[in-house]
Amino acid sequence: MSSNTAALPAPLTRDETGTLFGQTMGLVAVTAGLFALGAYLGRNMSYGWGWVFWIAGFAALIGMNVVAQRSERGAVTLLFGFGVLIGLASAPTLSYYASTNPQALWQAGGATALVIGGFGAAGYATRRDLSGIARALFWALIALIVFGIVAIFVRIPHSSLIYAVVGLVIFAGLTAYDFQRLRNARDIRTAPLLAASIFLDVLNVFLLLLSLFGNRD
Amino acid sequence: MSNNAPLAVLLEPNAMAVLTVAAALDRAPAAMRG
Repeated sequence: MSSNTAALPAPLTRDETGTLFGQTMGLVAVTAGLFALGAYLGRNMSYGWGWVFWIAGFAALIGMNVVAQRSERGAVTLLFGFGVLIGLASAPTLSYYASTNPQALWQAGGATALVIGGFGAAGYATRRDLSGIARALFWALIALIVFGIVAIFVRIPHSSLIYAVVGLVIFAGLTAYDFQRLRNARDIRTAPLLAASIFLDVLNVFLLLLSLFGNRD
Repeated sequence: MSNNAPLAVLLEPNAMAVLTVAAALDRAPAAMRG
């Protein structure tokens, strides 16, 4: 019998934390690339098809949460599928901005990198526990979604601007929290779920900045 | 909402925010109640 005594699993060493960070950010990068592919493939699609792909993406996300503890490979597959589906879902909106205000796309992309880089680094570095703030931001996000729905039916002055600014504050905080979770994570199987959260932070910040830059009267 | 973009475009950030809520549900019982 060979003596392959495995190292004790916990806590993660500095190197292993780095591996989890690298793996998670690698997954975010591939998901973002697949999102771009989906957005390109669906550039001539109708808004109706966008909603169909959004529902499929939603299903992939829920499926990933269910599968993650059992199969990392399954979770990664669903994460990549989620990236393509959400790219297809966003394609009509991105096409709209590309045709009406293409400069807004570049501005939003650059500003997103700054926001995520800044708040991500702050969240990764800080010693302060952000979970309490994240809990408050989660409820604020639900309130914001309700506000967004109400604003469809009731005319609220500057509702898009209010939505975008409040949304950016919420997602800046959630980005910092997700990077803190990434630093504190102890299980490599959490990489796909962390990657999905960070990808969604990036996507939300991008779309909020896009509505801010793209809808100026 | 207060501009000329199609409704689907204006709803896009809301739709993606819903996905963030859904993604957080896997850690909901502990994380959301503290």
